[in-house]
Amino acid sequence: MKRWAVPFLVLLLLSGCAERPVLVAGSSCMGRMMAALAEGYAERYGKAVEVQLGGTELGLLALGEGGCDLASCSRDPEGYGGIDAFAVAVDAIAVVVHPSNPVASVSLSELRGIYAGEITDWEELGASPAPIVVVGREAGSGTRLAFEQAIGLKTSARHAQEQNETGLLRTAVSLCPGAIGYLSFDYAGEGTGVRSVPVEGMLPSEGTVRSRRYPLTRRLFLCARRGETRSETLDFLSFCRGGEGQALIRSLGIIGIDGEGSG
Amino acid sequence: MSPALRRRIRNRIFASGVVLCGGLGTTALGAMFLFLLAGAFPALRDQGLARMLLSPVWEPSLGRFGLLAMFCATVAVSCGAVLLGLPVALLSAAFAQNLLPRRLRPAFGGLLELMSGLPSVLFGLVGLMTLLPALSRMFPAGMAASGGATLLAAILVLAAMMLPEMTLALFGDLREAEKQVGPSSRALGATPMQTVFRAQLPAAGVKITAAGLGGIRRAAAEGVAVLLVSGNVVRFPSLFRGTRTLASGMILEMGYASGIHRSALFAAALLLLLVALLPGGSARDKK
Repeated sequence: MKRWAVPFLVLLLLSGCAERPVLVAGSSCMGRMMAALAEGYAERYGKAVEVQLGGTELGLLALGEGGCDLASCSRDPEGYGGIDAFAVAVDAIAVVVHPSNPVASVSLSELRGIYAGEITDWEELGASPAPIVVVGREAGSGTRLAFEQAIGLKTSARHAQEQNETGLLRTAVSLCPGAIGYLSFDYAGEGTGVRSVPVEGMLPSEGTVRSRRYPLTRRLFLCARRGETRSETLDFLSFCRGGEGQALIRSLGIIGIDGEGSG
Repeated sequence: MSPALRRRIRNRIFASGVVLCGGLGTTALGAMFLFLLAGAFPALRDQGLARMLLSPVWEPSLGRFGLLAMFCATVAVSCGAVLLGLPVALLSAAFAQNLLPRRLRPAFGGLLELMSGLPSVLFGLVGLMTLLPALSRMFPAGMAASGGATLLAAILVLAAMMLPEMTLALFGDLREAEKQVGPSSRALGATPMQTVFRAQLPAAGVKITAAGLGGIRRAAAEGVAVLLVSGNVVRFPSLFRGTRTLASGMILEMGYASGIHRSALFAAALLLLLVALLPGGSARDKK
């Protein structure tokens, strides 16, 4: 062995032994929340947590292959084997349009008609006549799956545009007067360039989500491998579900779980 | 040590360095090809080569992975961008070579070099923010249903993106052509315009074709800029509708795809690689 290689090898070995940060991968619509939680955790306990986005499916896939410690999952992980899922927050999917769009309200069946390609003009929803630009998420998105389940869409959606990220979808809708799209309601507040439309007469808010009157709600999960024992991972998980984490989540305008059991 | 020996040793070292680097490059390229082939194999076995190449239906959730629609979109977008961009680039280069005052030419070249270094995502973003709303305002009948995110938008963005690079290449080609045929053309009494169109352009002919083919390769491989402005819906290319190319489709889905789906994306990459390799080298080599 060459002598100059020794220090490099030692470094390599050491880096393997050093404490590896907890790695969270998954849902892009949980990105804001996970970033805040990771930052809060690092500030409070001085331990790093890394967050990678790429969609719910990617997170679950990486979890199964050992590529991350926790998967952030924005759809119901029921039926996905080998994992334990823990609810960390409740989310509402807001239906958004361009701010200039006068449409007053949509129903679930109207949404189904729009995404199935049967309703194609805003006139049919009582707004001024203009073609509806149907914007949706890519096939692996947890938001898309939850949305299509909630509106009862059986066929594949007829999109005019498909965006692969929450922020991109919002930008696309904010630039296009005839557009309709869907995203986590904490991304659709004032000053974001899009307007939330009441669904079945309800706007998403803490009150309407808690009372389950707003129809497009879902729980957000952190998933760990079944029987996970690594203490760093479990510590971060209980931080997210405990008082401090939940307070952080609420400070972002996202709804916490408060007393709900694990999924 | 004698000087001759020292020179021989130095030569030996230099030669083996060249062989090593060349070998590394070739090996890396070959390894990449094999890697793609191995990655694409499960999908090819599952779907069958003919079905993958000839079916336009790409429905990952239903297990259907036809590449034809995305392949056609790739061809349409890249050929459209070059058809639009090449004449503009050619005339800009001819202008810079013949009409621009001599002392401004280096500045023109420098500006082009700067422009061709811009990352493609910038072109995509500017296209998303300005081109799409403008297009849906300009063609309310045709484009309102897609919000401007169309094949046309992708072509315009790609043409703009490739313009600096193509102009720069043609600028050089025309300068060489001018050296070869310019003086004799003028000596025969040709006007400046005749010199451009009858002497310089024919002399640079093959190189213009090469620049066009290079443009097609580059446009076919571009993913991000296209992703941002093309709507990303899988369907046969139509100028006023959204579309999805092989490259943008790979970016869109590679993140989460698994199993056969992931393998099908490798097959898409393989197809793209073949597109990129086919017209390339041969035309550049001809002088």
